Amino acid sequence: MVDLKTLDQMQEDELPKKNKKGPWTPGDNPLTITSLMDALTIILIFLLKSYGSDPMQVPQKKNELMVPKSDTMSNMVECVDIQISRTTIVVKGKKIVGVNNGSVSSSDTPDGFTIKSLKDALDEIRQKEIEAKGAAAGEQAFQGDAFIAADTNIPWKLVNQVMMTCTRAKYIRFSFAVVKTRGG
Amino acid sequence: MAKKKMAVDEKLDELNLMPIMNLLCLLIPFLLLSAQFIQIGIVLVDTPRQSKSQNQKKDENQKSLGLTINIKQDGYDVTTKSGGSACPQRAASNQVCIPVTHAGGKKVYNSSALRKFLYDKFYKPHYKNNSLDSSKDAPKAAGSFSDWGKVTIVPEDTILYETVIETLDAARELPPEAKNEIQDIKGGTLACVFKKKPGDKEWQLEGNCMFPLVAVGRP
Repeated sequence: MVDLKTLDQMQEDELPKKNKKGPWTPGDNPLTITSLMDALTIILIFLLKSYGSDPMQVPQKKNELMVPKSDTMSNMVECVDIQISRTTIVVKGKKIVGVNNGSVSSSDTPDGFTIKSLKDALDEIRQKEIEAKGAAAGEQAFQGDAFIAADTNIPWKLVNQVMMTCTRAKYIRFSFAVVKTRGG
Repeated sequence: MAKKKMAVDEKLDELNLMPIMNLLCLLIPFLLLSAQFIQIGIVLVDTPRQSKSQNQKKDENQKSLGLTINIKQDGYDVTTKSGGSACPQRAASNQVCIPVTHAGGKKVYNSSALRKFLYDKFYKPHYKNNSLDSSKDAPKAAGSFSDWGKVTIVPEDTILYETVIETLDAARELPPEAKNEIQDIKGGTLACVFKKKPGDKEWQLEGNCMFPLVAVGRP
């Protein structure tokens, strides 16, 4: 006689066979994590390299500070960094003055060119730099390099005001931050 | 006999990698958040005042080019110290040398046309007599300019910063056709690079440059 089984019965019969070994336990077959370790170590080295290659960081923030693109191949060196975003001017990570519609308020620029609070901050940084190297030698060794990272949509007038203020604080050479479009 | 028995009993345990794994799993998200995947470069500029004081040290009998690019609302206007506008015909009808174009309702400054204009009009006719490499004391060739390689860029107040950077790029590097037209292209590349060693006061130029020494602002 043929034993006829329904589909459900056949599935029930098969189920215990599949789980014959029972649930996995650490003692049965230890997890091999050596290959995972290799992958993580490579990622870590890559990230550490990209973290420490540039002397200064320029945070890219949408609608705040997007540095323009350029085909330059020159690399930055460490110097005083000034960030001109759509809302603030920041010197060495410290907020100095607010920006509204691409300009600073007239009370911050008494003569129309020099941004007073920016000049005070730059004077202080310059003084500290000179003192760190010793007064006489420091004055000689002071290079007067400033690194300006400005947003693409900032009008030239504001960048020019920052540059003029820098010049008055004896920072006379400028490097503009750009996003490289070709390697080097 | 005792030594042999001890060796048999020894079992090598597997190295416990879990603490290192924990450390890596913490480090990677932190580094991913702080890592910069774009490469930041620089464009060097001077102020006109600084550039002028350097010029005075050189031979005053030598003629100067006085190349100036004015970035106006309607385009690029190029002038020289000696002859005024670099495009007299357009200047006569009150037009700029390289007018802006419009694409998608946006004003576009044609920086590649400016690069070609500077190359054809100023670089190509004079590069043989002028060099950026020659030492300060070396005798200058006839027809050489004391301010070779220098350009002053004067943007209007409302010009966007991005346009100024595009103009700086256009003035610094040679156009692609220079590779075929100029015989002594160094290293076969058109790149112009500023380099500075740690501790050095001055930047050094490397590669093939057109007008890399830029002063931005009103002289």
